[in-house]
Amino acid sequence: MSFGHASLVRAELFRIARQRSNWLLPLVPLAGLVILVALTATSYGLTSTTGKTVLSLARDLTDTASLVLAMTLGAPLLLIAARAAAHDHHYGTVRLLVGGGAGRGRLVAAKLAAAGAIALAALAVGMACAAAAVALGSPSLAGRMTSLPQTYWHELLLDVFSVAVSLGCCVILGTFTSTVSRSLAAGLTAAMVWLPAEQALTGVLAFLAGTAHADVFTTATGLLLAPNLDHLMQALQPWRATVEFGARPVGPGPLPAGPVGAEQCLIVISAWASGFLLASLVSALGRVDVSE
Amino acid sequence: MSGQAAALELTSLSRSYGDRRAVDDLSFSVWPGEVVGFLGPNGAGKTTTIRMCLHLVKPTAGEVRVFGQDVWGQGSPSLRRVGCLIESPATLPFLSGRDNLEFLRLARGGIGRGAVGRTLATVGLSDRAGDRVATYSLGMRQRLGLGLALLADPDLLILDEPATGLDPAGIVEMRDLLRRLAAEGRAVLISSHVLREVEETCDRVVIINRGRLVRQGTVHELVAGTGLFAVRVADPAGALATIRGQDWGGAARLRDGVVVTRSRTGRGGDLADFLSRAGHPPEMLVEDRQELEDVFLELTHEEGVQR
Repeated sequence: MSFGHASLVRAELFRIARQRSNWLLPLVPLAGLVILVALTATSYGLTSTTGKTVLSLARDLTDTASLVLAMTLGAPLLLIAARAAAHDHHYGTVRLLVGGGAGRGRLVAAKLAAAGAIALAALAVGMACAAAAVALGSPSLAGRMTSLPQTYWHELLLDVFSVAVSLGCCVILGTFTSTVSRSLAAGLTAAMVWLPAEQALTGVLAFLAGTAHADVFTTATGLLLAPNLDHLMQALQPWRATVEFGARPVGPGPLPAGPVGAEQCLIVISAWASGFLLASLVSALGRVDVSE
Repeated sequence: MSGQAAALELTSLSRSYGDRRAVDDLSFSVWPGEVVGFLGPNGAGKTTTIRMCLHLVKPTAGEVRVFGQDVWGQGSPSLRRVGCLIESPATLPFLSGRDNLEFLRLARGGIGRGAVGRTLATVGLSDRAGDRVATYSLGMRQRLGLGLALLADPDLLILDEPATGLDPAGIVEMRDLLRRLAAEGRAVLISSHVLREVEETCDRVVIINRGRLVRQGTVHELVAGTGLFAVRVADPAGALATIRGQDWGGAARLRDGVVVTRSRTGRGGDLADFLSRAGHPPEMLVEDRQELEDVFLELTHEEGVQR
């Protein structure tokens, strides 16, 4: 009867698995993969390798698959993490757990760990499915994957790392919004709106930078989380001109401040993630009066 | 009980919200093997007190010890021996009753799988164990809440309004269950407004008002220790006037045609002699045993605080 970390994580995973509405969430990445197959088939499958090297095709498809995974897994993970963190306060089970000796910090850590484990599993399954989808959409490329140079596999790892960072941020953001708000509705809403709101703000700042010719706006853009997450894949592979989604550059385009290095991207993302984690823990440990 | 740690011990416990003192210098203990009723009118500070005992609300001053360990000073490991039901049952409505118990079993760790089935049987929910809690009635949710409190086989049970929503059979079952748990050596603290149940279930009662302790003692002490007698006479109004004329009879009163009064010496026989000599021979004279409800109302309407 120890309320150990492993026990709490197991319980969180059980609760998430038994919530029927969570069973619908895999439909989101599934739909993304269907789109990926369609994109692959129409862009590369039918035209085969005309005008492109195998490496170029493989890069395009890998980038596209990575972006599909980051977007379609990110939203469900935000939802899962935000709900997991909010449920205890929303339904009052925090009384049962804290009142029975589980520490508040442990509860937050367990929720993060459970959502993180789901993110890792989802990434692994997603990658396997994406590989299958690419093979299905472009069998001509699939047959020649073994001939790809070492550079490609290095870039693939960087893509996977970028997706993992993105998914990790989603887990932390979802946990943060619900832990701080202690409300299912507010936590979910904030989690789902946060990144799109930053995207919109990026657009506004870019507009202001263009019209006011003030550096402060471009600097501010580089400090937001969403544009840095979007840009990370590109920033980690500076030897490539653009990382492409289908035939288009990734995300909202290069940051207004100009090319941002991987180091700055990672620092900004780490700072946001650390801030979210710290705020979550302070909120859980500092606000000891549980009135739910 | 010397040599043995109290299951729950509150010492000068206080909690303020701004200028308002929700709980004020409250001290009492609950010992293994006893069921203690924790009573007070709405807003008296019962739930705040219970929350402080369970590491949910931080005290402004004072100490809570569970089996000798300071809940707020030494972390909350001792709370692992506690099962609780606070206000409405804390359940996940999208899970079944069985899954709610399974969730808590997994979270606590170290509880055998069989505990879930046994608990469901104990609280009478085996038949509906697989249904989602969202479909449960209020009484069934209450039973499940009780089950969640009992799942880990706790040594101390803290139950806030456990009878809410239970049907009469459910209330009797709960009473029997709590008595059985106490007989096994567990300690039980119940906050309730159903005073008849408290009277029948509890060994001792702690009454608070405006955050302060107003009385504690065994149920027998509380209901029998009034020192009053109920006297039936042919002329109650005349007898009342006679008694009130004495220096010891100022508080005498009529209740349903019966004179309720003290005796000068505290003995019923002396009161009977006095009334007979005064021309009001008693047709009936009994010690006036109050209901717990009377004691509760009397104490919680008083301004003063006794110790």
